[in-house]
Amino acid sequence: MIGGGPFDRPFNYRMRLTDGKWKIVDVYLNGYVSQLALRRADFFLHHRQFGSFGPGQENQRAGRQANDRRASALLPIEAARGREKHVVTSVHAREIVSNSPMLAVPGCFESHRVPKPEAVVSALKITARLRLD
Amino acid sequence: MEAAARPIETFYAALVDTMKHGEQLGLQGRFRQLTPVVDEAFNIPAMAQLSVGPSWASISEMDKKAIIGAFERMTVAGYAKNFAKFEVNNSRSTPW
Repeated sequence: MIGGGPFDRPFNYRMRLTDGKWKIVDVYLNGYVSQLALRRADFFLHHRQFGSFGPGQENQRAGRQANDRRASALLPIEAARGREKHVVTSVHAREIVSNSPMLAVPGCFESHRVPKPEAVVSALKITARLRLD
Repeated sequence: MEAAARPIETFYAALVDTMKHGEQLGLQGRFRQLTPVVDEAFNIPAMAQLSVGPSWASISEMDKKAIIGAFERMTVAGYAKNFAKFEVNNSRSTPW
């Protein structure tokens, strides 16, 4: 992705082979900001604030409300990325996200440990933002 | 590796095509056009499960379906909103 200037914004994709098809399971903005980690952190915060969906709590409305709230909470993050107007369609395949050592550890993705929200916020703070006039 | 990159290339091609007609399509049109593309390129159920984490095991099937559906709508809506139009920028001398 290109933000209207000389600084390309690399998007790395984590792929998983499912039923014979490769599919995307995560997108890393600027090469290392995991979208899935952001959503996990958001869900964790929501989970802590509004409780869990455990056995006996089969309330579809609550589930939908939880997701609606989660989706709404994500909007500022999506908006903060700015409006991408330019797309480069070249794809460079690499086996690992080399600049993300933690993510290169086999099995780390499958771990259900919830990332610390503070770390995610910190990552966002050091991420160069795109501004298009 | 090439096989793994192919879905991304296909997705990008569809995204660029949608962006080129973005203004005519409008937000709803882009959403409709991108929904099957996102479905094909992304493993939405796996992404939803990994986003929820350990609680996924204790969630009812009904709630799982609701979460997966919401996750899909959120993903498509993000692309439809953020990738609204396509512009070619040949001038790359100014940083921003």
